[in-house]
Amino acid sequence: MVYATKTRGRTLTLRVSGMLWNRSLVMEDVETGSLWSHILGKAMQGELAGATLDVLPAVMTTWADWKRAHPGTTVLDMSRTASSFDRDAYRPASKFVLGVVIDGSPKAYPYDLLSRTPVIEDEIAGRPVLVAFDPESTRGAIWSRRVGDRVLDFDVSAKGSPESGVAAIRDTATRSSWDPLSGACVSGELEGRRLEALPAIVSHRKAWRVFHPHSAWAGARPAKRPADLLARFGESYRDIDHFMRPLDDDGWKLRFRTLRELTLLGREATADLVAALADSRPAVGVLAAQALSFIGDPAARPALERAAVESSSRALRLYAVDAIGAAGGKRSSELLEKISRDDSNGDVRAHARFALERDGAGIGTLYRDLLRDFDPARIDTAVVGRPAPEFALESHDGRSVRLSTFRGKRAVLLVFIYGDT
Amino acid sequence: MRDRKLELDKAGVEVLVIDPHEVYRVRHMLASKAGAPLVTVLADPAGVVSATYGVAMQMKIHVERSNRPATFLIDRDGVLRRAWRGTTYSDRPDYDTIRGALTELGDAR
Repeated sequence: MVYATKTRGRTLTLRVSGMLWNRSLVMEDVETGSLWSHILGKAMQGELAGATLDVLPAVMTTWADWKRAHPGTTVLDMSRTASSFDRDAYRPASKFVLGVVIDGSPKAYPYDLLSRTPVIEDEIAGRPVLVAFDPESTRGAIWSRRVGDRVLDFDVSAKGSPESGVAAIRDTATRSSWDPLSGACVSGELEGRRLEALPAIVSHRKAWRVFHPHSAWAGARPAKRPADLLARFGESYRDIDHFMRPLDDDGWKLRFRTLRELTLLGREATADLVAALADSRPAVGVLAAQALSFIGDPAARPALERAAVESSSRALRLYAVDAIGAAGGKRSSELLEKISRDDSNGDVRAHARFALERDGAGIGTLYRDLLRDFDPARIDTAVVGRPAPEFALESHDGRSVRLSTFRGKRAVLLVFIYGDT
Repeated sequence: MRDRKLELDKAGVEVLVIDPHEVYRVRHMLASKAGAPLVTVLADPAGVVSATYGVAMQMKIHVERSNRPATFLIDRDGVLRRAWRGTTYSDRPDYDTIRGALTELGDAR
């Protein structure tokens, strides 16, 4: 990305600080020593904390592509210590996004989506935009569709003459022909006009999620309805009377997948989950309570309090108590104290104590964060004779432990336990 | 227990225990036992690793849905060599079984 270095009336000299924040480079300005996130363009610490830099439109592309578009280009002469840009650095496409922030609203366009659909008409924060991408050079651009006092719509499926890597497109109002990658009108009534470039950046998909957790995502599948997920679960799930599922029984996969999908819906699922607490099939109510314990929505508290006290199912009472704790706050402390003394089941009493130990701290987005990046295709993929599936988990003493770091030791024993209660 | 851990250390074996609860619950469990844990205990509250290894949500421990007890042996190249998936609460390979499986891995290299 490229930033204007003038902010708050002064021009800054920015350099690399040598520090990282969220695994991303931190800049330092020479003038005040304030520390800046390079991906947000925002001062995070120091005298200028809170100040922002204006992002300037820039493109990341191959030299051949740039020279074709700008034959008269000049080159900033830098030492050749850095390795050259390699377009393969931006493959596989599934790892990168073209991102833009408009009026505080971030939106990401995954490279794999853009490879399939290189020109997209869209609207972000009420502003009409056009997104264009060249899969060959991996150059992407985001333009405003406002030209003068009119907003242009484009026939993005039309095939015009190729001016750059992507076919030209026509606007529907004047049938003028545009090069979507350069933003220039190449023929027709509007020939010579240019679309205004918006400051899009190329980012790792994961980094975009970390720095813009509330970002919209182009091409995201429409969310499944929680009621449909619960209905499918209710129809297909067979609970077991025994304490352990037989080895060849994979009913747990449906339970895990449904729980994951419900958790990813977050608070949008709360109303349907609350309704499902009263489902006549015990397994559905228990799953709904467990999903609420992953989501931690305070709005579910009254229904959970009722379930925790009144339900005849001890499993439902247990997960309802978990969910009350996960929602955070101390409004239910008295009730939890009572449950921890009076419930007829020892596990429910223990979980009420666990909920009290949270001391009002809710679960936040812990489960959503852990489940979001999990690919369900990985379920049950540990096979003798094949590489053990890689993972990273937090240890009891706060370290992030990755399985592959033990490669080269004679052996690793992975011991799965069921826990303390 | 401590002697076996020393023996495993000496044999170059890393033991990783995976608990299906949040880190604070893991610490709570450890605090109730005497002394510092001998091995690394990892928290897998969302069950993503437990599901990957095919052990998640398969057991009712009283009323909670929890992991099937299971033990996996991985060799120095990262290849899964043995999998013991339990069918009862306490169904685990005994120490001699593990020692035998380690011997089968050999000491190549």
